[in-house]
Amino acid sequence: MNDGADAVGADAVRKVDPSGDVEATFWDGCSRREFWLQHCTACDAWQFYPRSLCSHCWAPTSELEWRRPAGGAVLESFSVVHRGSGPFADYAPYVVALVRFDEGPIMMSNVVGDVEGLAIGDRLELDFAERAGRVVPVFTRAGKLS
Amino acid sequence: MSANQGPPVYISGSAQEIVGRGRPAPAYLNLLAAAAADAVADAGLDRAAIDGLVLSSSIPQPFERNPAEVAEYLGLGAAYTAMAPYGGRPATDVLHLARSAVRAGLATNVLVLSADTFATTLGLEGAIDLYMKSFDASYERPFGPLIPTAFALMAARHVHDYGTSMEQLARVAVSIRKHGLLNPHTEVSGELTVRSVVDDVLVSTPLTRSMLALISTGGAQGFVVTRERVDRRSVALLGYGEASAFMSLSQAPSLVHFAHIRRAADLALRQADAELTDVDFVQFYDPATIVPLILLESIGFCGPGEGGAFVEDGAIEIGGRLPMNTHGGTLAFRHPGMGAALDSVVEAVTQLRGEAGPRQVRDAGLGLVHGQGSWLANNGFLILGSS
Repeated sequence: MNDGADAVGADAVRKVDPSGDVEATFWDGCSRREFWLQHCTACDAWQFYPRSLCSHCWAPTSELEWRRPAGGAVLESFSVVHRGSGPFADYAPYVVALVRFDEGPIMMSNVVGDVEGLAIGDRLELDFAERAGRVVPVFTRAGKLS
Repeated sequence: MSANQGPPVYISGSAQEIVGRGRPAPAYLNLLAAAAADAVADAGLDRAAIDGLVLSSSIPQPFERNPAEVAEYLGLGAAYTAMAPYGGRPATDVLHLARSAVRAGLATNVLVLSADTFATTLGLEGAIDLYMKSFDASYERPFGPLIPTAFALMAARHVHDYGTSMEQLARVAVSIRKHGLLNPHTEVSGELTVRSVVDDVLVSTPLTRSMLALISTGGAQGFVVTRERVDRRSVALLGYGEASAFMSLSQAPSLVHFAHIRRAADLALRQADAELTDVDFVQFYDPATIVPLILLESIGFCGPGEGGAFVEDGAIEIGGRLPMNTHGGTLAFRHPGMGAALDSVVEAVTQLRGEAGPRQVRDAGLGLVHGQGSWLANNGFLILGSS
């Protein structure tokens, strides 16, 4: 999936740069099809979206690290959008979802691929999709190819 | 600590500017000025008595004029001025700000103004696009949620967890439409049936178009909040509670039940020394029919998951045990923008004065008004009582 020279293993850990922009770091990872989730070494909690402190225990940036989630998730809720607005008009109907990583945090994303019979509680797997020159994290149903 | 937080202040003047469905709204300042003049006239006060101004932001013109500029435009002279300019507000907050100014001795008679030219300024597509910017630019908008999608995600989970039916989601729209048709200024026409609502075009599953708020071209509201009761038409502002708990839906502790809603409502009730059973009617912000169900449950009018059954027998209709949105709300009156919750305040005042005509709730003595910012993220509850 990752063909670059800077490919990193799934168990890689990176420090969070105290002077860096965590939002830029997150999307930079996505552009290489790597999803980096923040983990707090002080309280052992995960958080999404990324921040410059731990929202659970207020540990400073120096206590945070970037880790790669295993990629498994559960569908918390979803809606099929039938009328996209602006750039999304071409994608309708599409699935907007709230997805819970096995590590705990929830994110908004899309479920792509075969969504026939999609149901809350379904197992999902992290994937990436390219849209208008940008790589965004999406999910597919576990065991189904996108 | 005493439950009651001091003597009430009064909403002695109340006004609503009507634009009409599809008609272009007058200029923003024209609407504001009309609301000011009508509210002061309704209070029966001389404009020289006004010594404060609280301005609500609008959606398309959040910073068009600061409140001192508006006070100057209106020729108020020396006055306390404040504005609630931020996004994600419950909109009911401006009455609280006026009450606070009166109680702090900063002013005696405070004008509260709100105007929106929403779809007039932006067009329908522009209004939808601006609304979508409510979602987080980095972590939500890349996935294309419409505003209805936020409520759809709640509705889908509510259906999953509690077995709430499409018919129950539709019933809210049917009941509130009946009220809208009793309002001479409604922007809708024709009755709805459960079947027509369920069979309407899907916008964001499970929600159909008839389960969602209107988008209006504009409107305005004005109030005069006074330290003293002016006359029997003065309505007492007995309590206000507000709480936010998240902004991004991914950060919400639940999609179907919200402790911060209960907290905000309880704060307002305690200030008013009132119980839920004392409430004669509610005016809930109703951007989607799932919202009233969640509010009924989270406030405690019924248990978790019981909202669908609560509305099935017409309980929320005028004559029912808890009349809701007696003016039609945003589902069946209008949605002018940020001032939608202030239309609810106008209606509550009208009900408590006994001036609601064919839609009057009998013996209306105490009303609960809800305002909401960004998909139940932030909620502000007012308790108003007849004097």
